[in-house]
Amino acid sequence: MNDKKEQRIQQLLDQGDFEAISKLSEEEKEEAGLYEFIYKGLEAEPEFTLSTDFADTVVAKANSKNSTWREISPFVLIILGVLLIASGAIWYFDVNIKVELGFFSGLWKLRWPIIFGVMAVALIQLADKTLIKSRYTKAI
Amino acid sequence: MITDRALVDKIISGDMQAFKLLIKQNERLVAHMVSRLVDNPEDREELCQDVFLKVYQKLSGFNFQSKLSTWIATIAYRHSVNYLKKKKIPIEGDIEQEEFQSRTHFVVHENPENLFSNKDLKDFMVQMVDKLPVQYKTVVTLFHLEGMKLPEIEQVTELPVNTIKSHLFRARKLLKEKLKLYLVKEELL
Repeated sequence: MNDKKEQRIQQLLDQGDFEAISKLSEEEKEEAGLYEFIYKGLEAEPEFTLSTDFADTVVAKANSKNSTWREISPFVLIILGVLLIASGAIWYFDVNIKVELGFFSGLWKLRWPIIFGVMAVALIQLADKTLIKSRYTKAI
Repeated sequence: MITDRALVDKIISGDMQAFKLLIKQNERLVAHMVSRLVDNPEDREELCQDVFLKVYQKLSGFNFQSKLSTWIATIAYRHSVNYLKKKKIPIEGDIEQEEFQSRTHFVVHENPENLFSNKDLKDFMVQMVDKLPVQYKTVVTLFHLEGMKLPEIEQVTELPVNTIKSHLFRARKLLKEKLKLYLVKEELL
């Protein structure tokens, strides 16, 4: 049977035009019967079903993402603010003020490693809250 | 019955019960899409969860140009396709008759009488549809199982309507040929 005839049969079935199907030739009616069988099968529900608490689990995860962001946002802003002020202050002292630091001169030499160290701690905290904590909550 | 717009507004304003309602209304659709496209049963539930979390995340960007369910189906389709790409499972292209035959060889060992009992018809067809190429599976699922019209399927898959029509025709013809072959073989035995 050629594609045109098959297309016609499929079209009639899509339209549910069984009267037109009954007027087809015997060969075409046989094909239409097979297609009907296929259509029924295609309308059958797949076996896969979601767990009964699916909606609750998704809502809990969405809530957890919301609260994680609510916790992180001020935390990140505070850390960034402190680092910005500290960097600005150190830069200002570096350029404009020459003072004898005495005992603190050793500490002063380490000012940038200290700033980067604090920044690294902040980033680790951030990673902990965004990646590790969210994965942990996902797992439970 | 709550409208799409009212439901979306409630969810955006933080009503999690409304989000739960959205999940309940669309979980069947998402489960169908994901289960038809993803073979691995262990990944399906998690993928469905990810789809709804993405829906929740992107909901404020939904512009009501389509039905909410069509938009959700689009996210489910894209998410499943991304999963298949990650797993390096081909999603485009036609299927060779021979390949389809070799992948469905188990079918010819079944008794044709059983085919016509409801359960076996269902099992037989589910197995046959599972072996179709991803794009064929997508269009037949959206058309036959979800009852979507061609323009809606176009929105979900971003395939031109003519391609969708062609996929539908060829998928159904392929399945019919397999069924016919099976029945002829059984009759000859």
